[in-house]
Amino acid sequence: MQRPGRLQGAGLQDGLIRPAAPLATPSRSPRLGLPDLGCGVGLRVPHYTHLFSQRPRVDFFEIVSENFLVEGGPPRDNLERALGLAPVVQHGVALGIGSTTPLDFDYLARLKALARRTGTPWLTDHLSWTRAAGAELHDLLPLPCTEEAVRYVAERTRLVQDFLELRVGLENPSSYVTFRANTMPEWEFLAAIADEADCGILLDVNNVHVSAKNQGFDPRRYLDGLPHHRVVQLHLAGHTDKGTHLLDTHSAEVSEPVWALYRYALERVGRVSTLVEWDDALPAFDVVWDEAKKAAAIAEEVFGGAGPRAEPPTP
Amino acid sequence: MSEAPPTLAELQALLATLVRRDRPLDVSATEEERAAAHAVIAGSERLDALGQLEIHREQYWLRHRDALREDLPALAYWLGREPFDALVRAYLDATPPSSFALRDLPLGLPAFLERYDALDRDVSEVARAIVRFEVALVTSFDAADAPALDVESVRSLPEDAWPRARLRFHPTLAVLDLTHPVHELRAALRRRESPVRELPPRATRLALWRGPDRRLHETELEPAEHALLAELVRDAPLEEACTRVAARACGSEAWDVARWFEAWTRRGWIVAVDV
Repeated sequence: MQRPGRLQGAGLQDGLIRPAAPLATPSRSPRLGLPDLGCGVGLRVPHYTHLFSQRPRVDFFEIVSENFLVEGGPPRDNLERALGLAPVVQHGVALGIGSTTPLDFDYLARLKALARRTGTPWLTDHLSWTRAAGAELHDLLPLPCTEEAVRYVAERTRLVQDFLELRVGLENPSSYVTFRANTMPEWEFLAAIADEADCGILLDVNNVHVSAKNQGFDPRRYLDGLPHHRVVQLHLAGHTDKGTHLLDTHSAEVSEPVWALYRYALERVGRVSTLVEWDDALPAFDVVWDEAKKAAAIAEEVFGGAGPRAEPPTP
Repeated sequence: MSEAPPTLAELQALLATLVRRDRPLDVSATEEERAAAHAVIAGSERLDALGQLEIHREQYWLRHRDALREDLPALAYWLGREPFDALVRAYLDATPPSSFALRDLPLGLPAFLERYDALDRDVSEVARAIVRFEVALVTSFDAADAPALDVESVRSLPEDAWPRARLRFHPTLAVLDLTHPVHELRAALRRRESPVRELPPRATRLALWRGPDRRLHETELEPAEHALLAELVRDAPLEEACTRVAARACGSEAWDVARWFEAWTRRGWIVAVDV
């Protein structure tokens, strides 16, 4: 669960969007042909002073897009400074791809304008709904895993990709609700949408772990069941054990079971951009960055050597 | 809800209604709502349907309450925890969030406070002034940038153009007429000084803007200067604005339009003059 807070690199500084794979052609390439940016961290306001004075060599930053959909002022200034440090990838929380209200094209136009500025190579948001009954809920609410929802979300995702002229990646949500209407497990649901929409997947490994505990499934079955070539990015984060359930709080180090699951995911997906999220109880930047370095070290163990980043095996 | 399985839209409408409840679902859901929730949510070994939904309900509340507390620290301080939470509950209930951006959440609060009658009158008066000031801080913080007009450009305008001139102001400029010096309360909180418990009324005429240093600034204005600036911000031509303000002003007020314009220009408030 994530609250939007208050608020380029090689080949991306000019702000032009150059999707690595043409959107019109379904791709079987790993990561849908999108680049592996390494292991990055979320760009967060309390880290700005450190980042802009120390200029650490971060592989990439991920921003919460909505924090920068403003007209001016410090948020946009600081984004410009971050663009001078590393590539920036956009991650959103308000797309509401599963909402039954019409797509908000004003929001999408602002998102597109921001994407042109950041040069994000892809754009992600959650497989969830966010508004209904006249209210923006600012939450990532779950969809029933049904054929109806597959068709509905896939069609909207295609529209969004076409409008943005960018590959969209849908993130598996952290799941707390079990619908009676479910006709398939969530990994089949996500896979079916991604295949039908020809979109990417942002695989949140912590969310898989959280949902597996809450819903009682084997997280490895989840990872096995995805179309691995569609995974364009991974998320890692900490969670909180609330006794009756795990809550995706982004408020702690990545847990050991999630690190183990991350290794398992890499073995199936191959090298892929990995991002450490930390939002609540945010520690010093170096603590978060150490988590990203740990992710990079695990990737090196899995793929071996310091040579060129290997492509994953063909499924 | 019909006997048939709910459509996606019906399902989302039901869940949205329950998630927005201001109290835990085990005490706030009606029998009909419980039945509807159990009809669509299976639950788990540890949590039943309402228990699973309660996770989202609690997050809805905490997220919005915390966002408002972050944006309105002086209001939260002035009201205290329980009255502030009660205000937020009433506000969210009467004015469901309508923007995708949490940043926009407090924008409807000044109007809501005008009709919110659960506070003592003295507390409410100060609260209304605080929220107008703090909402202005929110909107000025990330309003659009605009290059300021330089002093020479202002001086070079022909004299006969001035009466019809309309001034265009920086998008971050807010002109406020407040009943209490609430900016001093907010400043004291920012400096973590010993808390202010009383704030006697004092007519406080403020201009608030984001400076070239990217920080927010505020300054108190003289009554006539404030009145003229407020007229001009409302798009009145200069001569008309002066006439209106002069008609309202008492004779003792000092008029120094040239000095005011010089200060406004120096602070970057004027971005264009339409003649």
